[in-house]
Amino acid sequence: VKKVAEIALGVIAAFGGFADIGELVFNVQAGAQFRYQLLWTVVIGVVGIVLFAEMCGRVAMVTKRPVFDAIRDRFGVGVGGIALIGSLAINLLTVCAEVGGVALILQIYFQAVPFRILLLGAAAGLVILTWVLPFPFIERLFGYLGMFLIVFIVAAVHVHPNWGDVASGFVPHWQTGQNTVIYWYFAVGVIAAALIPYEVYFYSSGAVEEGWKPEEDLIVNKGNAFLGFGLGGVISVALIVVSAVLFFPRQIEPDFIGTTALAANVPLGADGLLFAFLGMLFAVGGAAVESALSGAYCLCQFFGWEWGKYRRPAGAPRFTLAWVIFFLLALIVILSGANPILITEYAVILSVVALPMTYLPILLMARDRNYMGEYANGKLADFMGWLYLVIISIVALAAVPLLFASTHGAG
Amino acid sequence: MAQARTEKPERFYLAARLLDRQLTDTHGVRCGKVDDVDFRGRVGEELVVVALLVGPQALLRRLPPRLQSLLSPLRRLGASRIPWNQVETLTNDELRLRGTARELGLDRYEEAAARQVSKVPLA
Repeated sequence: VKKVAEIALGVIAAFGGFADIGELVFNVQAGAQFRYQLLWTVVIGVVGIVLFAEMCGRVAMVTKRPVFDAIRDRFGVGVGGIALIGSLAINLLTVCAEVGGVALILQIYFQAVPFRILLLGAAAGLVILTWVLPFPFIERLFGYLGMFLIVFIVAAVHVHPNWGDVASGFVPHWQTGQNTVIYWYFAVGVIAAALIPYEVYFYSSGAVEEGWKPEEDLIVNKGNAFLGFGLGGVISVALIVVSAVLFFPRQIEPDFIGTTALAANVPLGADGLLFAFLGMLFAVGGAAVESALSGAYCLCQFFGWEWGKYRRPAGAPRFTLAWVIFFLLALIVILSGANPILITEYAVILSVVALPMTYLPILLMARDRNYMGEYANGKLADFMGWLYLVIISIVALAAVPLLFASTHGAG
Repeated sequence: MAQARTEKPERFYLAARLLDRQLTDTHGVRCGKVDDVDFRGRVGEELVVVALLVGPQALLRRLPPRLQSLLSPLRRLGASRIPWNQVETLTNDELRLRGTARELGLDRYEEAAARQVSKVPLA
């Protein structure tokens, strides 16, 4: 019973913690511009993150090596160092996007308060929570409260979409003619938003933080990855559906996070708005904390410094300083006037460019029987692992040309 | 030539076992990674591992020359030298050392960071 409860709690945390500013920006814009046509890309992205997270969790559990430990082990300091620098830069962009996103979400209810005050308050609140809360509380507080995002699933049902059209959106669609470049830009964006790598750095480090053991926790890992992240994908689908019904016919371009909240407000009234506000606040707030911690995890694991939220802040001081610096840099960037939504687009698109460099060592390690023994990839996991390396590489190669050719989706 | 052929794989195997391994001190505290290895001996003779090197200076030596010169200011951060007889166990996961990080000179930056972090309440 205890194990079932543990699995259920982990699944809920993974479910509620799945969506972040990337999904709120890309999926809502994808629905507004291309109706249901990009739903198939959610499936590609979600299956990818499920595979990646499951392998990372299993490798961390068996070898006690989270992602950047494995990267240095497999690729050494040269290539591994390039992967580290790229990942830290993208992580910083992600923290900027998420911290700025929290302030933008707060604006929904606190319009009279200047943005910079909200930003300072948001950053201070996030730093304090990260400082005082131990790892399981961080994971679960934001994960559980992020479940308010279920309001978008309710809204998607409530707006009565044509379910036949929704189903046809899951069939891959090769766009040609008008808006081709923008279509493919959003296809890459929706896939990349689901595959944003800080989630797996955080997840695999969490497996070590919580002392997972393969003989006991294999099922917890599978449950979190398959059910938690898989169900999180339902929220991603719901965001596209509700946006397709509400914004596509009116040609509304949801460039503001407040417009995303309207997607729950219009069909469900004031309660819908409140639930959307709370869900977005905790999902994006959680993502800000996770991405700042992920940057610190990457750095410390690469250089072998003491790390972990299971230690008090002074017990792993370089780790603590690293995540505090991530928050401070993000605050400075957003205070300087950078647009969090634009940063989100760059963070999501660029993250997929660096993804193969972090995915490949995990795949190699997960299938290596010398390291993993009986827990190495089976035939299906191996086939899917290689297939996704090809998919991720294609998406990575296409990402930057599409970013510039589409003027980041503006056409 | 025959001698070189038999020695080469052994050298690579040793490097793979040691380089980039996690170091933990006698209390299990992570205290860096093996950035380089110091050997005694010459080609054609028996090579003996004398010490492990940990720190930016040792790490830089493994980078391509152009990158080394670009990052040369980091050299002054130095490197610690851990005599091989200070290694207690070597596993796939880590190298456990006999002394504490402080005794082995691996705690300089960690201590400096700890001083700053400790100034904040609830640290």
